This record gives sequence, C-alpha cells and structure tokens, in this order.
Amino acid sequence: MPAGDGDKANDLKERIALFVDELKKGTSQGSCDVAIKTINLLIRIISQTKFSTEKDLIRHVAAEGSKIQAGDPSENIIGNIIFRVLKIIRDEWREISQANDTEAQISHTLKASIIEAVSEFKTEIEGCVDNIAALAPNYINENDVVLTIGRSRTVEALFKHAASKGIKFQVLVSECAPFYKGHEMAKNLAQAKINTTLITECQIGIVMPRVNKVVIGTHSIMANGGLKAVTGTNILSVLAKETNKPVIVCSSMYKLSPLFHSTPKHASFNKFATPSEILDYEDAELLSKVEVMAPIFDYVPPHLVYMILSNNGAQPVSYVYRLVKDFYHPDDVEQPTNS
Amino acid sequence: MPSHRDGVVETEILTNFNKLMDENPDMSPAVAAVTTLVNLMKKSNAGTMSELRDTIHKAEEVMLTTDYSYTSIHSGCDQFLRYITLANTLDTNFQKIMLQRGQSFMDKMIKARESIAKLAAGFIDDGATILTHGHSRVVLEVMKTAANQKKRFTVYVTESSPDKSGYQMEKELTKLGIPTVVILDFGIGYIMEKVQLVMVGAEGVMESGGIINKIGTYPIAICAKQMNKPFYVVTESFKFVREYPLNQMDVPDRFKYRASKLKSSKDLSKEHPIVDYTPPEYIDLLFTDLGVLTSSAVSDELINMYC
Amino acid sequence: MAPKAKNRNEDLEEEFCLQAVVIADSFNVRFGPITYKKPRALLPLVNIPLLDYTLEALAISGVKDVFVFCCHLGDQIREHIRKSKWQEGGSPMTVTPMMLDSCRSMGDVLREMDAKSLIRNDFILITGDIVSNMDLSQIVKEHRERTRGKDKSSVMTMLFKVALPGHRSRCKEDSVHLIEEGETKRLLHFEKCLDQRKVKVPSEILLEHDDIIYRNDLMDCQISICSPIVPSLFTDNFDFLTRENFVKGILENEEITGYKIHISIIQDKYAARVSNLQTYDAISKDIIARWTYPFVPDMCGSSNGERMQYERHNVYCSADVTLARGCDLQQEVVVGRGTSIGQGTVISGCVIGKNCQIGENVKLKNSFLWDNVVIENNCDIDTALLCSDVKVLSNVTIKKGVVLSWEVVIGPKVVIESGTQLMSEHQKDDWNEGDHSFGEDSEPNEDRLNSSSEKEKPDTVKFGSKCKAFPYQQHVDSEDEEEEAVDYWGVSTSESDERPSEEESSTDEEESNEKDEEGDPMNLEEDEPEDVVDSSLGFNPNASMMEINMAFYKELLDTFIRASTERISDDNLILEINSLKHAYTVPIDEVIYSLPAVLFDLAAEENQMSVTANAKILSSFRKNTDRYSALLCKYIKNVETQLVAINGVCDYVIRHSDLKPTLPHLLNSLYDADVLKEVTILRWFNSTPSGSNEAEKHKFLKRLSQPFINWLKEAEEESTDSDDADGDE
Repeated sequence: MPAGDGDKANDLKERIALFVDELKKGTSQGSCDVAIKTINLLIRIISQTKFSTEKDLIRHVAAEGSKIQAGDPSENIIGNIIFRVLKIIRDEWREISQANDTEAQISHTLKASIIEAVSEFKTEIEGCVDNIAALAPNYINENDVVLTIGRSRTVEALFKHAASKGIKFQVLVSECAPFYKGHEMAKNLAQAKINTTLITECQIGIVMPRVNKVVIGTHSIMANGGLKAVTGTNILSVLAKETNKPVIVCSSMYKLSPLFHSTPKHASFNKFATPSEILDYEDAELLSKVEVMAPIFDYVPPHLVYMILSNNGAQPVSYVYRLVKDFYHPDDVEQPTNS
Repeated sequence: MPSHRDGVVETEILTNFNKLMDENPDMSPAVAAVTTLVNLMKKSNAGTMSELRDTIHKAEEVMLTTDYSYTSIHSGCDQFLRYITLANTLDTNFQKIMLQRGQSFMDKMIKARESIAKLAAGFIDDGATILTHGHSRVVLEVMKTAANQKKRFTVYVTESSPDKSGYQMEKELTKLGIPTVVILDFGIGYIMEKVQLVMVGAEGVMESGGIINKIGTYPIAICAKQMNKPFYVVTESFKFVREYPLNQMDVPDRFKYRASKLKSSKDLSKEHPIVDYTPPEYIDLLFTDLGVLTSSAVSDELINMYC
Repeated sequence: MAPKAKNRNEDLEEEFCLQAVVIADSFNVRFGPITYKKPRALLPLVNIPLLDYTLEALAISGVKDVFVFCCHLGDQIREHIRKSKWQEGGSPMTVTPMMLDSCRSMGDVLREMDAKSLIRNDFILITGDIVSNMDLSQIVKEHRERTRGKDKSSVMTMLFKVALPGHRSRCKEDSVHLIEEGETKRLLHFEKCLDQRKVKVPSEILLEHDDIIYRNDLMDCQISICSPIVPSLFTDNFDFLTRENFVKGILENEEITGYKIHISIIQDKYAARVSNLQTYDAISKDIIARWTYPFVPDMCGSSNGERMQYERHNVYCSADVTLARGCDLQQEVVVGRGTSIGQGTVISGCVIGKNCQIGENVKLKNSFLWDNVVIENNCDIDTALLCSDVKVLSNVTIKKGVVLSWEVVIGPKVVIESGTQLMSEHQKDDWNEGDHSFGEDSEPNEDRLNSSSEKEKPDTVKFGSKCKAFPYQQHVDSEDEEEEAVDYWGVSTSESDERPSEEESSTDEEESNEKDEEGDPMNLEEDEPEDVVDSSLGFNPNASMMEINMAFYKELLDTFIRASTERISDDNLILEINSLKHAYTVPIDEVIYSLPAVLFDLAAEENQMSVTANAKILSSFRKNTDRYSALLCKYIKNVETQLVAINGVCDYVIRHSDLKPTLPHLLNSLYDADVLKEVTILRWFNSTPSGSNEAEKHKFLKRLSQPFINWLKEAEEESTDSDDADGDE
C-alpha cells in the first residue's frame, strides 16, 4: 500500500525532526530519556526499511542515525545507541545466516529477530538505573562520608537505595556552578531523609580529607576509560587522587562510547553554553571587553578513576577496551576527524 | 648438512631481500621479508605443508642475519606463517591457496600504514607541537596525512644517536612543508613543556603492552608522563611479539643488538644496545591497523593473532 | 496551508495552534546600497540569512503556522522558503510566504491580512530580521490569560530586553522610553527618543496611577504578541503605518476604546532586531560571543551539513578552510567554507563568508565579508561591510564605516575614506524615492538610464585605477523621522545636513517650558533663526513665546487672503477658522494669539511687500482690523483672551525686529477697533511677570509701547479727545 507507506514515512520524518529539534533546544530530560527516544526511533526506522542484504540495512540505519546525531554532535549517547544497534544487526545476521540458507528466509526472520534484540536492549536500558542502584549496599558502608558533584539520576538512585536498606551515611553535594544542578540533587536527597550537605566547588579541597569516597555520575565514558562529565569533575578527581580517595563512577553501559577524546580542540567533545549564566547582558561596558567561556563538559583522564559501577557490575577502568570491543564493531565506528 | 642447492637459495633470498630494502627505503623490513617469502613460495616446489614450513623458516633465519630490525622481520614472518597455515591443508591445491593467502597478507601489510595514519592524524590538532624520536616511517606517514588535512603543526625531532637518523627525518618532513627542528637527545627535558604530544614509532610491541623502540624512547616516555603530555605509539600490527619482559634486562639480546654485533662481539656488557623497552604504564594509546588500543588491550589482540 | 479551525468555546480544551506573522520588509532604506538587489530578510548575519534566525526563533516557541509577508523582492524570499527545511514533510512548523506588492508600510500589510482573514487567534507579530533564543510560549500564555481573563481589553504584549543606554546592541534610532504600570505591566506611555535628555510626559499618567515605573533601560525587541483584533484596528485607522503609530494611537484613545497594551521584559534570554548597520554589527558580535545559544555558528549550520569548529577566543572555522602558516585568527572570527587565508594575515572581530580568498599580510578588523570576496595582498580593512563578489585589489586601505555593495571592485593602491558607500553600478534615480518597492527592472528603462547617466565612468582617482565603484547617495525623506541619517557604526561619520536641524529642534524643545499635549512639537518655525539669546534684546525671546503650528498659521493666512479676494462673509470666515482649528487641533488661545499677526501679514501681502515698518502696511493693517473687528470681537471677548491677543502682537513685533517702533501703532489699531479695551491694556502694562526672562521682556515691551500708553492715559483724561493715533515715532 504505497499510500500507507508514504504516510508512515512522513510520520517517521516528523518524529525524527521533532527529536532533532528537542536536542537542539536542549529540552531532553536526561540521558535515559535521550537513549529511549533514540532507540524508539531506530526501531521504527528498522521496521519501515525494506532491504535485501544486511549491508543495505546497516547503511540505511547509519545514514538515518547520522541525521539524528546532527541535532547535537556532542551527545554521544545517540552515537552509542546507533552503533550498538548496528552491532546487533551484524550479530543477528551472522547467527541467522548460519542457521538458514535461502535469502528470502533470512531477510524475513532477520527483521523480526533484529527488532526483538533491539527491544531487549531497550528493556536493558530502562532497567539500568535500578540495576546499578541495587549494587549500593556493596559499596556504601555504614558511617561513610560520600562526596558527589552536580546531579546524576543514577547516583541519586544509588543513594536512595542504600538509605532504604537502612545504611546510615552522609553525602556532600558540590553545587556545580554555573548551572547549579547540585542544588536539585541536594534537595532530592534531603527529601529522602539522607544526611546531605551542599558545598561549593572551592570547598572540595577542604572537605576531602574527611571524605571516604567519591561517587559521581558521568555524561559519557570514552573508549580509553576517560570520562566526559560535567564541569568540575576533573578538579574533583584530581583532588581525590591527591588524597587517595577512590573515585567511583556510576554509569549505565549505554553511556560507554567507542570514540576517543583525541585533542583538546575536539569539535564534538564539548558544548559551550551562553555566557548569560555568568555575565549579565545589560552590562554594556563589560560585554565588549570580556570573553566568557561556559563549557558544559570536562574530561577526566582514566588514571584518576578507580572503578566503574555499571549495570554489568563493577569494572576497573582498564577493562573498558574489552567492553568497547564487545559492544561495537570497528567497521561501524568512525572516529570523528577534527579537520 | 646444507646442500649446495640450499646455499644458492640462501644467497638468492639474501640478495632479493637486500635489493628490496635498498630500492624501497620506505618499506618496513617486515614487508620486505614477507614479499621475499611470497616470491620464494611462488618458486618453491615443496610437496607437503611441513616442507614448505621448513623452507620458510630457513628463509627467515637467513634474513635475520642481516642488520635490519630483528623484531620486524621475526614477527612479520611468524605471523605470515601462521596466517597462511590457517588454511585448510587437506586440499591438494594447498600451495595455490597458501599463495593466495600470502598475497592477501602482504597486501594488508602494505595498506596498514594508511589506516594507521588516518586514525592517528585525528589526534593532531591544528597548531599542535609534536615531539618525535628518530626516523620512523609510520610517524612520517601520519604527519603526511595530517598535513594533507590542512593542519598546521611543528615537529621537534631528536637527533637520535648513534646513527643520527633524526636528520633524515627532518629532511623528509621539511620536504612535506612541515617546519621541523632537530634537538639534542638530552634536549627533551628542555623542550617537553613546549610540546603538546609525543608520537613515536615502535620496532616491536610486547605482550605487556610496552614497546621496543630506538634507544632513548624510554626516557622520553618518563619525561612525558611527568609533564602530563600524552605519549602515543604508532605501529603496524605485525610488530606484535610474544614476549613479556619485566625490565630492561629481561629483553632478549637478539632484540637489543644487531645481528652482526651479536656475531662479532664477545663481551656484550661493553656494547650499548640500540633499543630500549618502554613499559606500558607510560604509553597512553597505541595506533595500529587493528584500531586504537590501550596498553591493556594489546594482550587480547595478541591472543587473537596467535591462537 | 490554511490555519486549522479554532474551537472558540472556552469550556472545551482549545486546540490552540500558535500562529505567527513575519513581515519580511522593513519599509525603510537603512541598508541602502545593499537591499536593491537582495531583500533585507535574506542578508546573511554570520553567514546565515536573517530570515532563518527569525524562523528558528519561532520554532523554538512552538509556533505551528507562519505567514511570511513579502513586499520588496518577495520572489527571492519565496524561493528561499521553498528550498528550506521548513517545506519538507515532517517539519513541525509550516511556513507560508504571502506576496504583497502594493504595501508601503507595516500598516498596509496588516490591513491586507485583515482583509484575507488569515488569523483567528492570538498571534506573534514579528519582523523578518529578529534574532532570538527565547521560548515565547510562556509569554503567549500570560498574554492569553490576560485577554481571556480579567482584562479583556488587552490588545498587544510587547517584548523588551533590559539593555542600558550605551549598550552596543541598542539601536540608537529606535531608542525608546516608556512608562509602565508596575503591577499589571501595562504600558502607559511610549515614545521614541533619540537619546534626548528631557522628555515630556502627559500629567494624567502621573495623576491617575499610583504605581508607575519610568524606563529608559529597555531595548525594543520588535516582537509583539497580538490579539486577533489588531488587524481590524489597523483597518479602522488608516493612518496607522507603523507599530509606533499603533501603540501611540491605542494609548491616546484609551478612554474611548478601552484597549490596553502590556509589556513583557526579557531578562535571561536574548532577543534583538537588526535594524541598521550598527545593530547588524552588535548582534553579529553577540552571536559570536554565544549570547544566542543554541543559535550559534557551530550548532546552526549542522542541519546544512556544514560543521564549524569552535575554538578558543570565539573563533569559528568551517571545514575546508585553508589557513596558511603565520596567519592569525585572533579572536571573534567566523570563517566560512572553502575560504583561504594567506600568510601573515591578521584577522580579528570579523565574519567571513564562503569561498573567500584573502591574500597575504592583510589586516582585517571588525569587518563583515560575505561570500566570494577577494582581498589581495597588503590591504588594511577596518570596520567595513563587503558584500558578495567584492574585489579589493592590492594595497588598499579602507577606513572605518565603509560599505561596499555587490560586485564592487576597488583599488589598487588607494585609500577609501570613512563613511563611503559604494555600489557597482551608477545609482538610478528611482532608488531615491526613499522607502519601498524599488523592484528590479527586468527591462531597463533606456530613457531613465540615459538621462541619469551623466557620470558613467567610475572615479578612478578616488577608488583606484581598476575600480568599478560609484558612490551611493542616501536619500533622506525629511518628513519621516525614522529616515534621519544617523551614523552607522557608532563611529561618528559625517553624514548629510540632517544632523544640525535635528539638534536645532531638540534644543528648541528644551527651551520651551510649556507642556505641549497637542500639536506637533517638531514643527516649529523652521525658517527663522532662533537659538541665540538676542543680546540687543537683553532676554531670550524664545523662552516665553507660545509655540504655534506653522501649518495652521499659513492656512489661516491663506484663508484671510482668500477672504478678501473672494469677499467671504464674516460668518463663513469664522466657520473656516474654526474648522482649521479643529483640523490642526490647535487650542483656542493659539488662534487668538495668531490673529493679529495674521492681519499684519495680510496687510503686507495686500501691499505685496515683505513685513517691515512701512506706512502703507500699517495703514492696511488698520483697515484690516477695522474690517474684521466684529470677527475679532467674537474671539476676543474677555480679559484673558485680550491678554493673549496682546501677547500675540508683542511676540510678533519681537520676532520681526524692524517692527519694534510700530508696537504702539499696532496696539492703537486694535484699541480703535474696539478689540482691546483700555482697562486690559493698562492692566497688561502694569503687570509684573515673574521670572527674570519674563521681567526683562516685559520691561522691553513697556519701553516700546510707552508712547501709546501715554497717549492712552492722556486720552483717558480727555475723554472726548479724537484720534491722534499716529503710529510713526
């Protein structure tokens, strides 16, 4: 039914355009939200594509995926999900082509099994935060003083779960200027009856000796084990290393990116926000004389991180390469050039 | 008892190999060795697999007597052999198949540098300052690619005693239009604060993830680590070696000295080696044709290759 | 695509589809030498057409339906929209271009819109050159709550951004000051002020409202959220041409219509309009400094497949840019695709478009280069705008504030002076019409070309031996205030003669203390020199003169001239005077004040002489006063009006200094005509006005009129004394 197909295709286009708009505006509700939306779109794309070989499908999905990624080049999660799905396609194809011989059979069962596998992946994503939170009692002990920065839903869930298990511990939240997400985190934790204190970044150095461990969330994990986290995390990690406090990163595995942080100028690594967070626009005198930089992300080198807590359990940072190999296929991943 | 015929074959292999190396100064010894082996296979009339294997082994030994990098030749030939013998040997046409596989292996080797260069050039910024050690063909290829991407960067290269190969590197880089400065070997401490990253080649990659490279690489790595500069290694995958040294003394002599030196010299303690071992903790990333690897990933790759 | 039908029933949930109206024509010529070829809405701002910024700003506010009204060069706009991403299936916003060729102002456009009945609900009214990253949906919600809720009469919500005077993005020409009511945010008074220091405010505002805030710290974003009756208000009032007219009209007629206007002030987000070159410069700088995030060069272009890299010091570099060694992009630079920059070149604060070629050792500062610009070696360019395809040959120095229009070639080895504007073709006369619709001639009118082609050859002395450049003359329509030539870049460049008269009229306003609620304060006696305190007089004559409406005065004079030739009866004449009074909304006092003066002018007219102390004129004056004495008495009945008339005579005499000795005679004539009564004259004579200036003036007048007063006193004593009125002394 060509008419029906046309409608569906338009509907899909509209959904993609809406999502890209949302990315541009920055109104998404966090990493999990972006991941779920991306994966929903990909399921639609796959189910609407007609293909004869898996190479066609891969090419098409990659093309559509790059359109979505163009909405926000610094949002690694979209790329991660796309690469994961491509790997799933390859894996499924290999399995099925080994089982069946005729092409017709292949393509029919292929689509169905791909969509099934991708839906499984989606369920995994949805349950990530809970899985990580369940690990809390192993790593948060009685009378611990834990330091965190900014707002991470994963870390929040972790703390709440530990509190619900009756563990008494104290949390210090660094407010994370200039976006001040730490305020929200402190409020939520306090509402869960956790002993919370809000501090500024400057005070991290002072409180560090009293802290037992540092637990942080992150935006992405790079392929070398480094982190792309909110501004301020690098300083926090360096100070922790100085005083030998372990830095534990709580992150779901869909945040693991196969890309490397190549250079400081890497184009899609950082996002620079508007200076209105820092400087008032009305101040005409200052405007033309002052250059304001408001980067959103920080890079934390791998040697400053102790361990990664993920839905697969706890992993050392040096193991990250293995996970990257498992999740992603090298042919799909193209390192972004910054030329 | 080596027959007369064997001797003829030997000299032939040697001359072929040396000819290849002389005519193609850009070629890695491993590639030359493998090319020689492939030519040998074409001419050989070995009846069985084991016979062929022996021929190849002997050829390898002959080539190892030259003064070219032991590691390259050895690992190149070793991997070549493994690769071709993975074929189904029950087939009577095995020679043809092995030849095919050998040819494809050779092609892969030749293309290795290109893919490495593409990967590594992405890590060179516009306006970067790079420190490199001695003359490495792979590093040269990387810089050529980066320059073609219209990036502007400067290079500091160490003189690299005792053969002063740094000057050759400088000449080649200047030909590409890249401003290059040759520094003294011990000038690295002075220059390190100015550079943005350090990029070196490797003669061999050990199972631990550390590398064997021209002597002087180890101090550069230590200095880079101390000053927080990234230390990158660019190398082809056929240089991976199944050795696991724990310290400098652990590295076998055949890696450390040239074949001629080994033959002539009695007291090696008075000779200074031409390579040193850089442990994995000083290396940030390795760029290979298998992709970008961290030191811990190297052993995995080796296992894949050899098992 | 027709707008969806709206559910007007308030009980059910409204399927509210937010609409927007974009007016893609500014109806003025602030970008003179450039907009003859490309409409302003398509000019590139940091390499992206202005209209795209406007549409993105609307998209971010959740607008579903956009109507773009195009007048001048509308085909280009229509083509642009057709090719844009908004026309693709699945775009969240529908953009419909509407072509209107005959509109000459924003008012016309809105009238057309009303005629077509396109809008059925609250809509956003915006021009095609707005840059904003603000989500307006919150403000729209507030507006709708106002219109549905308590204050059903709210007609429009205007958006302003806080920007102190002197802020670089604040357009000097559109500078406003306004009064708002604090709590309700209602607009009470709105005035454009070209950075004047004194302002006039109707006192009712101060009297009627308790909680008012006077604001001069606001920048007009030119974004308004209008209720659906706004187009019909424009249809009803044909003299609403601009938004300012509309606002002023609504505020003035508030008692009658009951409509109100509210304002909304933006603090955190960004909104500004590119209205002239100065704001073009300032807003470009704001975009480069990322105030308009997420509409910044490294994120904007990604939908077109172009990726710009953001580097330190706000430097943006596209892919495929060739930078030679030793070239320095210092700070705040945007470089478009395919551009190559040569060795030793230093660039700072510039926007460079696609495929430009910049040679070696070039210094570029604070300039804007559009696409395909070629700059050869050793040039020095500071604060200039170079349109597409411009060629600057080697060794050229361009001083501040220069505009080079499309395809201009200048050089080599020449210095272009500050403030020059050059075009590549000789300026055609019909471009001088000032405002609107200079459509491109598809078939060039040969006659027109030939007639105006006196200087076809470019001036090679001024602009270089290989040049192709003709100067652009800005035509300024002096009636329309908005066309006043102001300097472009905030750098004082000498423009035309308009500036001095502007200053003149503003100082006049400062001098006159009287409140002027009605009548146009700008139309003072333009013919006469006024500023200086006349040292011979000893006082400032202007300080206490009533302002009169020159047009009204002239009409009055004409009426009297006609009356004498056509023998119009007194009654009809009175009717005519009254209708003039209403037409020019002139207070009765001013009529009375003008009458004696008119009669004297009439006398001079009759004798075909200019106004001097001539016996013939004086006798004609006497005759006139006699003839029109009844008419005069109708107006001048009581003491107050007589005093006004005396003032009128005195001021007239002061204005025409030759008439000084005739003051007694004039007063006498009026006395004889029984217009002025003795009592009043003596009362006037003996009064002691307050204020040093006034006192001085009165002393002077007393001196002048002394002879008459003496005679009057004598006449009092001798009650039956006959006329001795002889004016000449």
